[in-house]
Amino acid sequence: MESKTFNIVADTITEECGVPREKITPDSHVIDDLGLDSIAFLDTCYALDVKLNIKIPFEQWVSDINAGKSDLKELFKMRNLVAEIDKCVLNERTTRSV
Amino acid sequence: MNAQRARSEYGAVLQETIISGVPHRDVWVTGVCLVSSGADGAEEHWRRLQGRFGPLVVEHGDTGLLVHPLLPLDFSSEISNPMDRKRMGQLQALGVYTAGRALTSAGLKGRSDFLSRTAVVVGCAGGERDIALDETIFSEASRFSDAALLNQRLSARMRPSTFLSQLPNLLAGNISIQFGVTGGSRTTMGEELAGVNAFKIGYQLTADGTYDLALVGGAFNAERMDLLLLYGFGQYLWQHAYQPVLNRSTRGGGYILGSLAAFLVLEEAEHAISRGVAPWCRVCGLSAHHSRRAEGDIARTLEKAWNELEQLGTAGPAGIISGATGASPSTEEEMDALVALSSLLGQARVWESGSIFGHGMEASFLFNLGLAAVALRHGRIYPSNPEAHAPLDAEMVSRLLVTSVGHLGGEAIALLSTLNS
Repeated sequence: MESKTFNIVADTITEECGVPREKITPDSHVIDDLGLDSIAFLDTCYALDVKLNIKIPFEQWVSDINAGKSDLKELFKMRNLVAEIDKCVLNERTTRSV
Repeated sequence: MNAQRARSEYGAVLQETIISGVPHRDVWVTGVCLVSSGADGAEEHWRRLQGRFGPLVVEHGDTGLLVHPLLPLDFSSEISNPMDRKRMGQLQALGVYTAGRALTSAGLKGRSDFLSRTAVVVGCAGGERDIALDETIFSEASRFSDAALLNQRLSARMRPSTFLSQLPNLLAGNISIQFGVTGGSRTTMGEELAGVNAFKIGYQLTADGTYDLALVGGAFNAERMDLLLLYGFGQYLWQHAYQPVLNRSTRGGGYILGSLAAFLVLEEAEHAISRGVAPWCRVCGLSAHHSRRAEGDIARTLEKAWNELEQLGTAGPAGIISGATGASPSTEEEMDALVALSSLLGQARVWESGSIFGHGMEASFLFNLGLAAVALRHGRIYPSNPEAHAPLDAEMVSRLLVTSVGHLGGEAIALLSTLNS
């Protein structure tokens, strides 16, 4: 059973990038398997920001990858990406409630 | 085909002149693609203009403003990746599509050995805006206490690829990415003058030996709400029932925007011969000048421009393809100037494309050059425009003059000829 966030992210990739929805699984890598390039990924993040009312820390992710703190192969796998986005949603809710 | 046979077959006499001490090589047009409200492809324009076909004019949305809309096109033949098509927006996708087909017509598609040393010169405005975002920001604008908030809203809410598509030089970038054209690129902005300067730069780069090949073109999307508002509020648009451009002065003049794209491949003659490519026509010369638009300036500018072309040893044209916009008084002044120049130009008759295809700003001059190249390829000018003031016979022609007299500026003329002219 895929999570609600997974479905939102997958639907957004389909809408923004024209990737067939059935091709997107938790194990898909957004670059290697789904074919997104940097601009397509930025557009997807933008659309998710609007849909989920969050701010995806894209620049921080890139910085962490460049600094060797994150692994590009792992971070951009759908299940890990969705987990990171879930953290953003949680942070946003926490910030608002405070 | 070897060089000698090519010379014989095309009846070409290679021209090389010296201008201001700089060698000026013979430049041919070896590929063309045109796209408009009327047709898709240069030859398709020629074919359709042989018959009596009326201009496609529609009211845009609920604005009541007339436009010549782009005919329905599938860009996927030139831009296979749907992500690429989406991020380009309509304007850049139209330009890339047209550029790709121009490369095909010149036999250059997929030829990395040539494309790696082909210049790209584009006359283009910024791409489409996010109208919904603009409307949201406008609706909030009265609450802004700080002008900086406007930029914050734009940067936070604008889709990244929309931001990128608004950069005119990304059209050249996308052409380079899609087709591997990796010579230098230049982009010119500024309405009609942008198209003039794009052609001028491409012609100079080829003539002076910087490049043997230059892909030169532009695109214009007439159906953009922001541009319709811009030119509508400026009182530049024709706001009555459709009339040909030469019939609009009695009601104050005005132009109807038309979606257009045009790309031409300019090639040094010896290079074209060595490739064995069949040229469409020769570029005899181009002259462009700024005009302050004081009374009589358009006539003086066109006369000065023609005198410069004549000094290159060019003979008068058999026909004139005018870029008259319909704006007043520039359209009347251009027509009067061409009549006044008849002692220099001969009795060349005028055929204005704007009545059929509308005015496409940056793309107009390039589009008309493309129309001239197709006509010269067939050795004939276009048959009578049923809506125009002066019928033209389908006579044989070997030289065509193309004019640009923009709605506010952008005066230029270019002379194209058949190779044996």
